[in-house]
Amino acid sequence: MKTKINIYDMLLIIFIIVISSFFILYNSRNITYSNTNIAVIYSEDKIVGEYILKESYKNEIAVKSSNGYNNIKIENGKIWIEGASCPDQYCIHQGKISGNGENIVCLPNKLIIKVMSDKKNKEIDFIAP
Amino acid sequence: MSKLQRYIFLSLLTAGAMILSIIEGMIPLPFIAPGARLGLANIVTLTAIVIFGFKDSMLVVILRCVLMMFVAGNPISFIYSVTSGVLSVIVMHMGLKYTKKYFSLIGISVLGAITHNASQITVSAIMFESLSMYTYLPIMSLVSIFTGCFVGYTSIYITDNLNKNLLNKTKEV
Repeated sequence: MKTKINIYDMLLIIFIIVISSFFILYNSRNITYSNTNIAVIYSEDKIVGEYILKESYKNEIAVKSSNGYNNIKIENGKIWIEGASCPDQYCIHQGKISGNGENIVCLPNKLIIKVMSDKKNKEIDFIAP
Repeated sequence: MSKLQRYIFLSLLTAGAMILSIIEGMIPLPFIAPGARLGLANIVTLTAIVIFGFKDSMLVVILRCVLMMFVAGNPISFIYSVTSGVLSVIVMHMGLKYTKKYFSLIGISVLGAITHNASQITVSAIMFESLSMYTYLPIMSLVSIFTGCFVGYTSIYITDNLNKNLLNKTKEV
C-alpha cells in the first residue's frame, strides 16, 4: 500500500477521462432536433402519454404517482417539468429538452420523460446490391 | 488489539460513516445527475479495509446502510446504497490485494468511487427498466475522479495516523 500518488494513478485517471470524454462527445453527436420528435412520458414503468414536439403544439400535463405529482409543460417544441412534489426538485433543474435521446428523470416519483425520433415515417432509401 | 477494542472501533467507524452520509446528503450536486452524491462514506470504508480487512469492512458497510434506512431514508435509497457499498468494498479489497505494487490508496479509492457510481446507475437502470440511464455514466465517472482523489487523500492521512498511534506500526503494511 503506497501512500503517495504515483504514475499509475495518473494513468488510471487519464484513462478514465479519455474514455468518458469520448462517450460524452459520441452521445452529443447523436442528438437530433427535428419537428417530428416524440416525447414519451413513463410514470412507474407505464406509458402515460406520447406527444409530438411540434413548434405550434402547446400542452400542460399533470402526472400523479403514488409518491406525488409532476406538472409537465410542452411549448415551442420543448418539454419540461414546471412543478413537482419531489423534495430535491431536481427534475425542474434539468431544464427543457427537445433532442432525441435526451431525458428528464424524477427519481422519487418514478417518472421519466424520453424524447425519441419518429421512426414510423422512415423509408428505406438505399439497399446495397 | 483485543476483541473488545476491535468491536468498539468498528462501531465508531460505523457511526462516523453514518454522520458522513447524513452530511453529504445535505449537499446537493444539481448540475451532474439525479441522486449524485459525493460518496464521502468511502473514506470510512477504505480505512476499514486497510486496517481491518474484508469481513469487518463489509460488516461496517452493511450496518451503515441498514441504520441509515432506519434513520433518514426510505427502502429505495437502501437498495441503492447497499448495492453500491457492497460492490465498492469488493472492488477496493481486490484492488488493495492485487495491485499493491502499482496503485496507491488514491488509485484504489478512484476505482471504488467509479464502481459506486456505476452500480448506482445500474440500479436506477434496473428500477426504471431503461438503458438510457447509462448516458449519465460518463459525466458521473468524471466527477467520481475528483471525489475519489479527495477520499483517497483523506484515507491516506487517517490510516497513517492510525497505524502510527493506535497499532504502533511505523512501517507500511
